[in-house]
Amino acid sequence: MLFDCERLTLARRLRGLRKNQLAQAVGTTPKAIGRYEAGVQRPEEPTVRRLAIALGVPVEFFQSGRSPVSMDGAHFRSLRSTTQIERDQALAYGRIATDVVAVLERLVDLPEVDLPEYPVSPEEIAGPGPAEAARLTRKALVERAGPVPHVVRLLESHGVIVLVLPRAAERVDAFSVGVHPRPMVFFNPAKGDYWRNRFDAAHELGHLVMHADAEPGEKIVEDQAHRFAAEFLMPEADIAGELPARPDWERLGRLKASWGVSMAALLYRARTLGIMTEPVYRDAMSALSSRGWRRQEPGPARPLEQPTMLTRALEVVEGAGTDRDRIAGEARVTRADLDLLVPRR
Amino acid sequence: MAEDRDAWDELLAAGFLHALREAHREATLAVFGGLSRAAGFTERTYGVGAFDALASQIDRVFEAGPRVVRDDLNGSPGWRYGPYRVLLKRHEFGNVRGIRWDRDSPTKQAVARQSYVEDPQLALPLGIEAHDTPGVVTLVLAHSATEAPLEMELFLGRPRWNADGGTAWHWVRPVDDTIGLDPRRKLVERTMPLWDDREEDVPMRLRGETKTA
Repeated sequence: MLFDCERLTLARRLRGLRKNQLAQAVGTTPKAIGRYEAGVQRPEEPTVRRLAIALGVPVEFFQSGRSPVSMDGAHFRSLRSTTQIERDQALAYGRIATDVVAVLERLVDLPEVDLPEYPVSPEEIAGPGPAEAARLTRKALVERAGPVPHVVRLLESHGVIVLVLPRAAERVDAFSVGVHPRPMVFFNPAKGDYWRNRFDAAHELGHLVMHADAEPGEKIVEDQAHRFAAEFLMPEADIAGELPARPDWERLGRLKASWGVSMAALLYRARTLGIMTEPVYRDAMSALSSRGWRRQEPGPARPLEQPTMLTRALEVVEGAGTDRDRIAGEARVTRADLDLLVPRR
Repeated sequence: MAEDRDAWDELLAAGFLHALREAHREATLAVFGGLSRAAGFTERTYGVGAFDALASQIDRVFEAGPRVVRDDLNGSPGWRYGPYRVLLKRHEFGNVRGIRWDRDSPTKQAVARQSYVEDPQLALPLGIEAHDTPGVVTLVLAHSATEAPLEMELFLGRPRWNADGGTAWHWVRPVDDTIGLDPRRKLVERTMPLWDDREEDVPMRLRGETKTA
């Protein structure tokens, strides 16, 4: 068997392990792991088996084969609060997801990728670019004015792969990758908040539309994606007349329910559109904090928007006689990882 | 030596120590992730930033729990759970036992002079006792971190007035991985999100299906 050093790195990242932790688990040194991963030295057969056991993958996982897809351009939100290990782990899930998608694409016709492009310079701090990009994207993707009914399904129907980060990577915020041939959006349901996840999905859509070339993680770029999401979910033309100039909580609660955005987002929108003055906004936000609403806003909870494209694709191929084990085998991922990424319903 | 055991066990069981550790981790990552040496930030900037960030993070982790109250001492940020108040002290990495309280701020000096039943010391009136709360034992959370490699140190202890050049602590213990599972997890078990399954799937068919049909 040809041993692919990059597959070892991938497996280690998938399990969120440091080199020294893996070395300890297989009874070798971190240096040796480093040499295996760099391709300087090939591990002996017994070591390969121990590596496979320690990483919870079959030995065949390390076979060379598919050319690696780069995830370098991933747009991570909170670079500040996550560790490299956590980001690497999330990206490793992204990598194996691309392998699963590649197998599925040979068997089913997934929706065509059909997103507008509207590059906005990563230098543009307060310009109109993001809002214009959002208006253009709405025109292309959403047929009507007013609230977007289901952001996740909208992305899927335009060919974007939407995946839910496994629990292991729960500290990582939503992120997106504009990989060839399909863009991917990962979102994190850890907070279980419908409104937040919708905003995350719109934010990531903003990156895909505006930031193919931008350096990920820059504060300005993140701010642009926020402003994109705000205009995309709450278009100025449709919502300006409805937003209150004072924190009228009852009205905000009604707007929240009909637009599918949080009260905090509505307040923020009211301020950026100049409907609410800065001091009023600040008072409203501190009222929100003191009532404990930053953590959980009042009003009924709502079930999250669920991505189903890959689940559906697997159902279609299963219906034609190709089961999950075979898909996992062809994608060279473990069945457990496949089920984690693409759960059954 | 009863106090260290009593204080430690009580704070541990309440998840107070876990919360402090979590806050320290968040603050350290936030500071090191946010400040760049290339842009001219120095060790001192990190120190000040880490102190402020830690205070904000501690406020945040205790936001939900009504049993911990903010209880500053002479303007120095403090948090109290039951009879225990905790103040912050950033120390030189690797040298938590070398802290000289007699060269620290008057507040920390006073804290180090608190009477300690198991080792009574001469207490000097500093004129700040009036601000203190009777029946409260003030402990110190000593924190430090290095950037490359990223390492963190966190200790909780009872400072000892060491103008004599002696030991800096009546007792001090690391708040690290050895403290075990977080008891707060039991209280706030995360519920898995509910998913909405009503929206229709995107249409899809087997490849080549229409061509062969």
